Amino acid sequence: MNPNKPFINGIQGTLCGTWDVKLMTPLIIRHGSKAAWQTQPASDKKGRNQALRFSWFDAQRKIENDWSEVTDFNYHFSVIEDQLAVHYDVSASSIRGALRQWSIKNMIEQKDWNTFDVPKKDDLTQINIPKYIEKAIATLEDQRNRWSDILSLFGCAYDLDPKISDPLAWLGRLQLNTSIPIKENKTLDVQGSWASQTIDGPNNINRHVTVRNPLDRVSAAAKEGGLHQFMEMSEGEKFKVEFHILNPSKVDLEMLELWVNDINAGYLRFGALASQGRGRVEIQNHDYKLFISPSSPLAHFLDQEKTDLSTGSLFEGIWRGYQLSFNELMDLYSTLK
Amino acid sequence: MSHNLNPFDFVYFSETKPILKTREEWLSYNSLLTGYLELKIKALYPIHIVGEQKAQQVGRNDFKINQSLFNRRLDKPNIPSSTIRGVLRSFLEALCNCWASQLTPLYKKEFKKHTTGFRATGTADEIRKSRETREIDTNLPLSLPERFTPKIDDSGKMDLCSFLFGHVLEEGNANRGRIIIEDAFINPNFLDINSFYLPDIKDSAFMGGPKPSASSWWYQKPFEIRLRRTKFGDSPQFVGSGFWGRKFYYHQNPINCVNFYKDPRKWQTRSDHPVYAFPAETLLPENETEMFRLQFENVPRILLNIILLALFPGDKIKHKMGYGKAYGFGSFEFKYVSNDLRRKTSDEKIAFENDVKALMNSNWDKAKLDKFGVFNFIDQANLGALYRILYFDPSSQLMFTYPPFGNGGFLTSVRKGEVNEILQENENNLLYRNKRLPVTLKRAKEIAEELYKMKKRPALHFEVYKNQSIGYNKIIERKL
Repeated sequence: MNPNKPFINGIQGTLCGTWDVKLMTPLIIRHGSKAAWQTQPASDKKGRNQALRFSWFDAQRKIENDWSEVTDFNYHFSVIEDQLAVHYDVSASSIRGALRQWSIKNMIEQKDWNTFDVPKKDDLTQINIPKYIEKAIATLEDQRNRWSDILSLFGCAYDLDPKISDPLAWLGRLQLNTSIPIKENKTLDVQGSWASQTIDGPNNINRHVTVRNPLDRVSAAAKEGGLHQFMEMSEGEKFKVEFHILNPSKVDLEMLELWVNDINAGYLRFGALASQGRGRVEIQNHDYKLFISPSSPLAHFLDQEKTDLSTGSLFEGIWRGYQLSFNELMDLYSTLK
Repeated sequence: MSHNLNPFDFVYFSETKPILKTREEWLSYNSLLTGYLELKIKALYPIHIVGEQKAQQVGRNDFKINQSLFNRRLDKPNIPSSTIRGVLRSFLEALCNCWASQLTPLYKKEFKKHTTGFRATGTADEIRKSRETREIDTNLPLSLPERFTPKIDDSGKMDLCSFLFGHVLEEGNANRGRIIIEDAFINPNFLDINSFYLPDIKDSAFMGGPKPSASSWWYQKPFEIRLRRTKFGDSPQFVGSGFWGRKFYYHQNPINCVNFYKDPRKWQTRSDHPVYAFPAETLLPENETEMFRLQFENVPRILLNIILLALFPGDKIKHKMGYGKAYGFGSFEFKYVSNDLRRKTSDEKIAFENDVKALMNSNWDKAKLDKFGVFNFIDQANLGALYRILYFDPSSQLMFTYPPFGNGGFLTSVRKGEVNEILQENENNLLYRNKRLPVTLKRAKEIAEELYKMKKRPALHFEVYKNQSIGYNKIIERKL
């Protein structure tokens, strides 16, 4: 039984949003790889953060030669003008994931938060799959439960058993991308003094290395093996989020309101180490374009006098397009409520 | 023989087990709140969080610190969120008798550092592995009482601090916390590098360093006396096992303290390791940080009240943070600025603000705190100990300094014969036959007191040294 048939009446519209996001606190998006640094010559017994040296391209070899690891920020490779380039970026999946999690926390009862967590492959042979699926179906059928709305928007493949012919699967209607303007020669900030050297690696964001040294709770001394460092995108940096939602509904606008308000209030954060205040951002500019067919339920709520954005585009004559501010979008949502 | 109090003391581990509940049980206290407090930190004595610390080599193996600058990011001085978080969590773990998180699990035997390797925590598997390497004395029990070792079993139960602050125990065993704390930035005009100095010992550290040892009864409770073979013959070794408790530092005037260390007539040190002082960039007393957030997410109201008590522990209890706590640095208090509650009406927000202020002014008065329901979570003995240690009185002339190296201090050796004089005949027989003599806490104290009278290793036993310190009578007068 597949309860989700979002396009049974075809695609009747799309809501396109663009957010210009500014970091109010540092952001950590991990990549799983390491850079390397050395804080001072091994012979010095005292002092901190002197004669710093950093290595990105040769990190692995340096780490094998007693340099310290720095957990790196997320990056990607691309080909630009026939050249291989590497840039730090804010992965769309991390933004999307945070939005999804926040929606679950605010729209679903805590006891049901994990209902659609797909078990690890190794665990599948040990769990009672029919029972899991039964619970998932019961959750969906409970009118008070809003899992359908979330799964409809974000998608899900809850196909625990390949033998089941009609698995629980949702295509998802939200597509999201992120981008950072490619500007080189941004800085790697670090307190202390650099040894004279060139900092290698991607340099399209202002970033800094943070050092942490947890203290043992009983002795109040540094915990053995606790010293670690990681790269963060510095506060003040900006990135762009662009998304579109196919067949936007009233519930989608409800979620959009939740996201925007809670992001700007600082409750919805992105990336790792939120517990240490990371990931608070502000949406500085956001604009929305709504393209809809005349047969869409939203059509007659919109001001027909507004400029039709679809003029001259592929959608001309098929859909109408409206530029809406966030407030206008929320007014539309209030009308639909 | 007279000496100052030691700079730190312990909140002893309770015999009572921590309160453990599942996540659902903690949440069942209901009235879940999401919101944030806007706070500042006010320095009572100078605060120093180390950033860049310039040092230089001054001889073949000699190193000196020239100056220590305040922690910065993007050239802005700040107190890291992890520091603030650590202060609150340490306080709450003691106050509410919680697990002891972030422990170094084992201290291996190491030449010139740890004569006796020991385990603070550990599973049976880890203990077996360390037996194979012979770096750990497996005759010694775990130093941390097992009831305070963080572990999540099949029941899923966790202590209060793990519920609030989260934990990462091992791969796949993590719980996300509900308290978010941001960095606290500082106006650079409130920092100064010329006003306060920190002491250091050239090419060494006070008391050999802050890490606990099993070779005395200073950090750990008495366990036994051993005879260790050395090139000079058999030498008595006083082996400790079982941490006294959680360490907290006393408040004191930093200028008086540092001047005491600098005066060789007052604090002895080895001639090849003289005391010197280096300038430290500090947040000056009476100055405040900029505003920062403490955010809470779906925290039951009753548990939020406990966080508030930790933030505002009354007129007398004040916190400490950063570098140089032993020398009087780091005393501070939190200042409340404002709050926000998510999805609450203005009336509810006003009511919450009134409660915040009531808690801030409660000063641990049970009658005032009863309506907030917090006393069920507070260990009264631990609260009493925290009160004695973290009691802040700027007019106090009490001094807290480490035992020196030499006579009157912690490294003077004790000869076999001197121990023989103190022990009873059957004890001596046992020691010589087995090379080890188990001791009860009571007997160990008697032995340490005798040695103290003989001026032999006065800093052997933590309690004996403390009880004989100048001003200890004033410490025990501190009562809630």
